[in-house]
Amino acid sequence: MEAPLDHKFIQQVNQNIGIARKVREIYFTGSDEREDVLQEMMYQLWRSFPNFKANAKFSTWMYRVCLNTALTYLRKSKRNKNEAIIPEHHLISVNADNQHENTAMLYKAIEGLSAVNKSIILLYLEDMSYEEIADVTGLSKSNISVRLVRIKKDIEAQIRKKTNITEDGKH
Amino acid sequence: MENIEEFKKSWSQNKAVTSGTDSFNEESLRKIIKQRAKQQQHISMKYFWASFTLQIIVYALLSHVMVKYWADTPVSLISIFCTLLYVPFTVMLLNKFKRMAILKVDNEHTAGLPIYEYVSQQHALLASFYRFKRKYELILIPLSSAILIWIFFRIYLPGGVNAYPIAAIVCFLITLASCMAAIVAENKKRFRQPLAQLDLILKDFAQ
Repeated sequence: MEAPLDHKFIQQVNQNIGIARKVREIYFTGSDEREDVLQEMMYQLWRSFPNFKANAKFSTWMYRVCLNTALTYLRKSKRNKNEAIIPEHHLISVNADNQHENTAMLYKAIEGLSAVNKSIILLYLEDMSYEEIADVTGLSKSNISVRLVRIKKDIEAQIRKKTNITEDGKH
Repeated sequence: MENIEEFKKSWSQNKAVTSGTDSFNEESLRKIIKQRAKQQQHISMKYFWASFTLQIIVYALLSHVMVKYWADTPVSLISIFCTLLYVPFTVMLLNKFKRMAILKVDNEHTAGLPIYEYVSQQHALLASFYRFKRKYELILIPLSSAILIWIFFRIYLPGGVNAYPIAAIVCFLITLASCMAAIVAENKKRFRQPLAQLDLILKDFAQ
C-alpha cells in the first residue's frame, strides 16, 4: 500500500515526538512494548492525519491520537498486566540526579492511577489549560478541575508514603 | 519535596524522555506504516477466514445436497431454507471485514476524537455487532444443527429421524453442545472481554 507521505506531517510529528514518548512512558513498562506502541502511534497518526483540521493545534490532536492508541493497545496487550515495574523502566540510573529521582517518583505515583486519570495528570504536567485537557479527554472543564484536585491529593499521598519509607530505611 | 507543583517543575525540566533519537524520516515512517498495515490486515483476515471457512463448508454441503437430491422435494426445500438463513450473516460478516481489510487513509478514522468519544464509539460498534451476533446465533445454531441432522438422517438412514428419534436427539445435542462451547469461547475472547475493558474506561469517565 503506497500512500503519499506529507512532508508537513513528518515535520510536525518529529517536532512533537516527545508527546508520543511521554504517553508511552506513562502507560507502558516493557521496552519491546514501548517500541511497538510508538510504531502503532505513528501508524494511527498517519491514518488520522486527513481528519486533522489545519486551524487546530497539532500537539492537542497528537495527544488525542496517542492517548487513544495507548488505551486501545493497553486493552489488547496481555503482557502488560503482569509485568512488575523496575527502576530502569523510567530511564533512571542508579546515579541519577535529583531531577530524575523526582520524575521517577512521580512516575511511580502515577502508575497507581486509572487509565483516564493518567491521561489527565499527563496533560496537566504538560502545562495544558483545563480547556485543552477537556478538549483532549472529552470531559467537562469542571469535571477536570474536580478530578485534578483528587488526583493531586492521591499523588502527593503516594509520594509522602514513599518518602517516609525511604527515610525510615535510611535511619 | 511533596508538593505536586514542585514535581511539575522537575517534569518539565527533565529532558530524558523527550530527548531520544527516534525521529522519523519518510523512509522509516513508510516502513512502519507498511508493517502495521500488513499486521492489522493479517489479524483481521485470520478471524475472517475462520468464520468464512465454516460458512463455505455449510454452503458447499447444502449445495451438494440440493443438486444430488433435487428430486426429493422436502430435502431440497429444507436445504434452500437453511442456505437463506445463513445469507444475512454472511453479508454482515463480509461488510464488516471489507471495512477492516481495506486499510487506507480515510476520513472515517476516529483516533483523533476526544478520548471519551473514541472509547464510546468503539464500545457502541462492538456492542451492536455482538448484540446482532448473539441474537442471530441463538436462532441460527440450534436451527441449522437440527436441519443438518435431519438432512443427514433422511439421506443416509432409512426412515430418517422418525425411525431413530433418540439417536437424532443425541446427535443434535452433541452438535449443539460443541457449537455452543466454541461460540462461548469465541465471544468471551473477541467480545465480552474487550467490552468489559471498554466499560471499565467508560465507568472511570463517569466517576
